[in-house]
Amino acid sequence: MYSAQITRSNPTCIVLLLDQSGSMSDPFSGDTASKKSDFVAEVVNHTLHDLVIRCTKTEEVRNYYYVAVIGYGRVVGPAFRGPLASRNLVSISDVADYPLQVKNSYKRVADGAGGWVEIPVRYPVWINPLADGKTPMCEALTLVKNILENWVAEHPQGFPPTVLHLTDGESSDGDPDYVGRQIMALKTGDGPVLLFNCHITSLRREKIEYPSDETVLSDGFARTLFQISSHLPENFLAAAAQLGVRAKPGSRGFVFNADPSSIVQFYEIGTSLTGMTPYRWMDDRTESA
Amino acid sequence: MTSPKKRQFGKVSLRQFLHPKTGHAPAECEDAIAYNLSSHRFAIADGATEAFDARTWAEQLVTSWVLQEGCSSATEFWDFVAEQGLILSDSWSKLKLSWYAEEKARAGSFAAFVGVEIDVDAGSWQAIALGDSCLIQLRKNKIVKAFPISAAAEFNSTPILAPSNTGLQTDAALQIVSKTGDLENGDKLLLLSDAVAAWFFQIDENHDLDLLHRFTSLIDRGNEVSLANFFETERSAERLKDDDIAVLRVEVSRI
Repeated sequence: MYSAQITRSNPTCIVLLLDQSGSMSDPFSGDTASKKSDFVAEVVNHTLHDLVIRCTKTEEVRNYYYVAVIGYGRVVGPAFRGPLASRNLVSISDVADYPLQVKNSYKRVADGAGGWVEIPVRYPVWINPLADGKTPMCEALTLVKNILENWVAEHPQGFPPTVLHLTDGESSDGDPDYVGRQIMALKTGDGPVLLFNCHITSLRREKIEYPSDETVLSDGFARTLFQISSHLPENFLAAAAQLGVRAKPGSRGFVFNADPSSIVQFYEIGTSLTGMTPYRWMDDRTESA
Repeated sequence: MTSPKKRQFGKVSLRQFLHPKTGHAPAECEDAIAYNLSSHRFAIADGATEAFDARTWAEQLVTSWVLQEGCSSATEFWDFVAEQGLILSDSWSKLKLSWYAEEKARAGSFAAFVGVEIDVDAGSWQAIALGDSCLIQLRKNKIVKAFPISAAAEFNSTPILAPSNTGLQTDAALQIVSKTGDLENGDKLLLLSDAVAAWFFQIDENHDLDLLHRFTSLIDRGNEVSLANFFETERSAERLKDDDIAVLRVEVSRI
């Protein structure tokens, strides 16, 4: 399982599912200067950037991945803005070619003589921060399920889809357990769909990363998310190890009370797929213009 | 004390074979081969699939190296790589690139390289390598020398490669290796990119003489279609990793 080669003729699907409810405008992890929605939008934009770069062959972007970015809050649907708005599932080459905006910035790089220089770089943005409305998690998971039902039917031998779900609170439209399990029951010949969950909080609380046992979770909602989180396959465990994250066979793809570094790692591990080296994007960009 | 026996090799013959990954067009093959029969310099390079313009970089390294003189010490070779890298990045600067191509180009390109120069008068060779492309010297179809890798288990997925942006990868200079050897009549030098080199070492370690014999016979005959079929069969049997293949076989013999 989870060993199918990802090719243009046998691509895989990645779903980034985002809580965009009103509470996402609250401060993040005790830091009053930072909103959860701002940080999550930045991480998602970097993740999309990383996926594009991985598929770039010189001047061509090869469609190894199809990506959905689904938000839920006041509305449930695609979170892409700009030319891709309203599209559920987008080829990675279209992601590359149709960002909402390409911003200019500077990046610090080695000058080859032991020093550093700043060079101009361009970086794209596909989604803006959004925080509005309730938390219709079940409706959002149902949309993901519908997208993936079609995907696995059309790609029966592909590397199974991966769903990376980020939320800051409990569902406002019911218990997500049932639809979560329905998603995890979908499969290709290479294994079941992977559903990973990351919970973030406005408070500074002890984080729990990739647990293998739900008894470490005192919170009922945390246990619900644990139960609809897939086990981390071997490739993903290897990626976690490369990032210095403690995960072991039996660990679930689940983080509770994630801090900023945990969120970044959640996306890095979750998109490592076939064991590729995680792309460390939290680098040295210095200012945006 | 006796003076070294002087050997003369009046004939240097070669066979070459390039083959892309399964399902890829020949133009998508990122391995490259070049040779210069006047100076008896031979080289292969294996462009890193993930890198920007890897095929161009691999081709530029081999074609430029075989036309040079020297470049067989680590210092000379590193200077050569840096110079070639500047030429390559200069060619990119003339292009109007998308944001993602620009990002890839910034990191530069990468390729494994192995090159060898034969001294037909002295009956010797001198080689230089950076990365996991290999030179294997065969005498009567047995391995006499192999470098920079000499066993199947030594290959890994993250070799240090020749970078086009040497400023970003200064540590790579420390991984350059050179080697020399003597030649006897009928010796063959095989230059192989990583996947086919790992396969070759594995079948040698398994003492699979039949497979070895079929491979060397096909190379000797130089029938590209038969060789392509042979390697596709090996890939299907999962003995050979599905990667680009470069094989350059040089044979020396007396007149």
